[in-house]
Amino acid sequence: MIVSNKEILYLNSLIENAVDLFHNFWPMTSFIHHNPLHGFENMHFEDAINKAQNYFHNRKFLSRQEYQEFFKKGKIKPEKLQDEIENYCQKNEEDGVYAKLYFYILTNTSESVISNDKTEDFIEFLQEKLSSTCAMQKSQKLGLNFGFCDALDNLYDTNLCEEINQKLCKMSMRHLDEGQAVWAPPEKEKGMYFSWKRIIKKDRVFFNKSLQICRILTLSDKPEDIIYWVLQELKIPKDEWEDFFVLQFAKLHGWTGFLRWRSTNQDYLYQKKYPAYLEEFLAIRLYFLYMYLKKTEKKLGYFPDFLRLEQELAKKESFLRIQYNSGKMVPKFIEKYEQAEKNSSLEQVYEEYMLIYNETYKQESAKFLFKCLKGFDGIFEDYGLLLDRLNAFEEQEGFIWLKAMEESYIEDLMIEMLPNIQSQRLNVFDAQFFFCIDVRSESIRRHIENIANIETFGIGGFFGIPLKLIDIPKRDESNLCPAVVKPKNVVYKFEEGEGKESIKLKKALRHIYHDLKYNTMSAYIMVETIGLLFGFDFFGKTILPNLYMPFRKKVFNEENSGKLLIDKYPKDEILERIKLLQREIVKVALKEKYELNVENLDDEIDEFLQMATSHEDVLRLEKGRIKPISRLAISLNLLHYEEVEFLRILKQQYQISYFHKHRHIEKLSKVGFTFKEQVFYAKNALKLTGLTKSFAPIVVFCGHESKSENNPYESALDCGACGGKSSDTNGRVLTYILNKPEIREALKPDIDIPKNTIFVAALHNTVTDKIKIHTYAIPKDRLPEIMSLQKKIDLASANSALERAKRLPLADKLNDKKALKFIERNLHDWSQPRPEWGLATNHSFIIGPRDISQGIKFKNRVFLHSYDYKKDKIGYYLEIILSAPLVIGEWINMEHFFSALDNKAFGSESKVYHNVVGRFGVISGNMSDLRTGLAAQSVHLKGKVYHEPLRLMTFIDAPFYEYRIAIDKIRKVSELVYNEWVKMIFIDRKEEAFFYYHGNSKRWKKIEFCKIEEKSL
Amino acid sequence: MIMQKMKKIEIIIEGSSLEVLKRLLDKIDIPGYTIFHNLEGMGSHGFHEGHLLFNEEDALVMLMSVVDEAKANDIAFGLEPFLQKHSGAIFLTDTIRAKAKKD
Repeated sequence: MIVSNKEILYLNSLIENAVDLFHNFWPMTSFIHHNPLHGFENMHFEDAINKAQNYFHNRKFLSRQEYQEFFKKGKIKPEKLQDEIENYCQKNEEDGVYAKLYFYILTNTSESVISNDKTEDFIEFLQEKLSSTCAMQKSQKLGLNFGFCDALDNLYDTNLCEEINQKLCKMSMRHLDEGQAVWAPPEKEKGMYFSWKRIIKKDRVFFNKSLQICRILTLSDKPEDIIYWVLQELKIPKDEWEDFFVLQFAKLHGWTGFLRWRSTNQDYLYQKKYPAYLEEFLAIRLYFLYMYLKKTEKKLGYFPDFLRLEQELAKKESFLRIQYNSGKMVPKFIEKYEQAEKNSSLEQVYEEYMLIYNETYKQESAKFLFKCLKGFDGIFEDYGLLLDRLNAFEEQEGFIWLKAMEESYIEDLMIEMLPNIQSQRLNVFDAQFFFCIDVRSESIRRHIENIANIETFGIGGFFGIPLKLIDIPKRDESNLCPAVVKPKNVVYKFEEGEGKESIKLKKALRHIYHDLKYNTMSAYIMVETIGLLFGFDFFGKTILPNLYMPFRKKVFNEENSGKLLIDKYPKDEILERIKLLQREIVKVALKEKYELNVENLDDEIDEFLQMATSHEDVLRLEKGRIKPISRLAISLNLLHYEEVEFLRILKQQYQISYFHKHRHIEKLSKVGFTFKEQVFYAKNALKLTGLTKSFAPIVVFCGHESKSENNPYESALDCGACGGKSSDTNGRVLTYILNKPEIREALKPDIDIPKNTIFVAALHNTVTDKIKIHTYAIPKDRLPEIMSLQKKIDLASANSALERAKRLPLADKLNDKKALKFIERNLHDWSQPRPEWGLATNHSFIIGPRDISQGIKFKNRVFLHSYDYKKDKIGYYLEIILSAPLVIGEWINMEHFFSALDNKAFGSESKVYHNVVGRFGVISGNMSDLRTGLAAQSVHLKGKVYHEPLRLMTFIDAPFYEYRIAIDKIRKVSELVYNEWVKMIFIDRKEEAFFYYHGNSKRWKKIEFCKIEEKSL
Repeated sequence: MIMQKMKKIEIIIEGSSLEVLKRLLDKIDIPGYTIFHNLEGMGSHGFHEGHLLFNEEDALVMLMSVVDEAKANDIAFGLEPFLQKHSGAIFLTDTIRAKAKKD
């Protein structure tokens, strides 16, 4: 059976639709924060969270107890909770007594039922009142949350889901490995499906030539053939195919996410070398599913295809089986069930069980009602109705709490910002600092402003310059920009002035590191193998990190800034470089093939290269000809057939051809920025933040990174706007551009930079809050100013570090000196699972000038993006901010939201159980789904939620009526706002009011400044 | 010149789906296509701004190719489920390919 082109496209379209619900997973070396429910953003937040439960089996909101703790701490204002409850009652047409009851239930923290005679009587009374109530019997149909394997596992107590998952995990770990595994599967370079086929054909248990599926496997290399065949065999109705695929992918959504990312990043080195696609993954899964079903056929006496399984599920006895196997059966009936199961008389005992089942339901309901009504002053006539309403309210309760908490925060933020909004600030500054919008910049900005006459700005950490960095010494290639952009410009980084000895030592040490971090056997053998050298590092890092690490830094020269290639190569220089490179390759080829050492034949080689890279076939084998044609062959005494053969070898083995030459030209032409591009990006960066005049003598672009040891999540602590990398390079590139006189000239008259203004780059380490201003490119006469600035910044760094350290467990009780030492130690301590809190506790995003937020202690919870609408008449720059920094902010916020809410479903649980897999991710234990999301240590503290899950509350300082169109013009942003993935508030100084998108009424609500002033009083 | 009756196929989708689409077309051996970036327009999913400087995923793109009728039908019907769930549209028009004769 061969599927047609149309069917191939049809199946792949369904696969793409199915995986849309599962977020991409980027390799952990560039951890990208993302919304785990990104695929649900076209729905309203509440609907999405309900639907996601089908696939992720997550909890939807925090528990009542957790919200009650926030309530006790004053983080949820009673009046806000009351408002939300009233809105709920209004929507459901429930009268005031219900609103009172709900508020009472939510805020009542007294312990539950204490049994005494009175309570027993009341419960009995309630039970009588509920006499007509019946438990709803959920019909189990194959569908969204109940797949083939789930049904069989529940009906017959099999373990199919787990067994198939293990097969797929093992196969994925093997094929997707990026150099960590000792053994590689055969012919991996031909793709995941092909390579797996090679292995499975040797498997005696899972390959049987007499089965049609195995014959298809042998005859066809298209995974779609297997998919199509299994769909037919399982008799799955065509309109169920997509849901069926969703359920298959949902079982291992981590691996699915990684494959999804790889299949849309064809340039990723390992995807190029060892391709792997979702349809291959699905075909392998369906192959195993079919084989396992075939195995169960013998046990069941029938083949469980879709139709047959639906029939089985509709039987009364199936309800009993599912109750028993899922552990939900009423305990007192278990013995009877087991007996009936033995006697094959399940159907006869069904009615009996339903009586007990309903009775138990009534008892539980009566207890539930009692618990709700205990101590409440109110009378209800219809207890059945009350029970229904209370059950419905419980379903909605989490969202009510969440909205009330957000409303409380929004009001507090309004109160805090209002005095700033109503005053104007004009000043001349000694220096200006640009920081990333990252929440960790908030405290350092505040402390810098406190100690010196310095103005600070916030901008996405890539500073508006998307670039690909090729780090030659590290052999690393990374995109330094938000994940929603593919950079078009490449910057090369070279290392300068390095001795041979240092290189050798580096290589040796790096080798050790590789083994230690990734080899699963390392824990047992490494100390013996590398002896003292390793032991020294081990003890150094563990026992004396503060003393040892400065020494180690010297060896690794980690602070070497390297030289960046920022300007574009002229075309003739590109051609010249390619020619030089190819000339050397020809010399190597001659040496390897003919053992010829060629010197002083550059002209001859160049002529030969021209022939090799010509579009036409210039040098063809001429029959009967002996004398060579090329000057190179003549000089080397080669015959005609030898020169033709050499040309072929050059083309095939050494990539010297027309095609490769033009690929090199294309690649090299991407290196650097043209003058026009430099002007464009410089202008954008300054205009985005509103800095077009009043430049200070020193303007600093401060990138950021986080340093920690033995932390696979290190990149999650780096710059989110730089794709989980350090944003140091972007700052360096922008300062280089802005220091050019010709660029400054081109920026006029819009942007007028005084001659004495110097742009410098700096790097902010977010673990210690230390900022290092790079001095290598600064003219000598300006160095004293920079040194004096560095001193001031050092003081601010210490203050900010202390403020943040107090939030870290263990450091909170230390004195200032010890707290500083503690965080310094975190930098190097490889036993520390939480070197810093990172972006935890983030909850808001403010887009506007610094005036509106300056001086307010936001406790590192707010993204701050500078923006001045007065310099953006048509909203162009606001659209840019909304379409990238805000979108990335939402990803970060939602990553934390869901990882904190349900760390098992969306996070990756404790780091203690993590193992690095394939060098690109982590798994729990020795085999599991790929763990996506944040570790428990990043969002929880002592088993409790540390990051409060709140949706990003976004404030824009701009006149509402003129600038709200920016939201409607970008589909993604309007989706996020109107589906309430972010809360959007305009600060309108003209109207003297806040305009707030209100989800309950689906309207923009105007709240005048004076009303907030009243509240603040 | 050889004149050949062909179908011009224009597929408008969101930038985030471009890589998927390219790969699907590769799967059925579509020999070539042209891509137009940063399109602006209004559709059932709302307005799509064209100049999203730092966000290529949410801007619209158009992929244009010229294929024979059978392939055009394969593409249109094969991509139907994809376009039911994603922003975008397919347009098919009759066209003539003028192909230079080569010796």
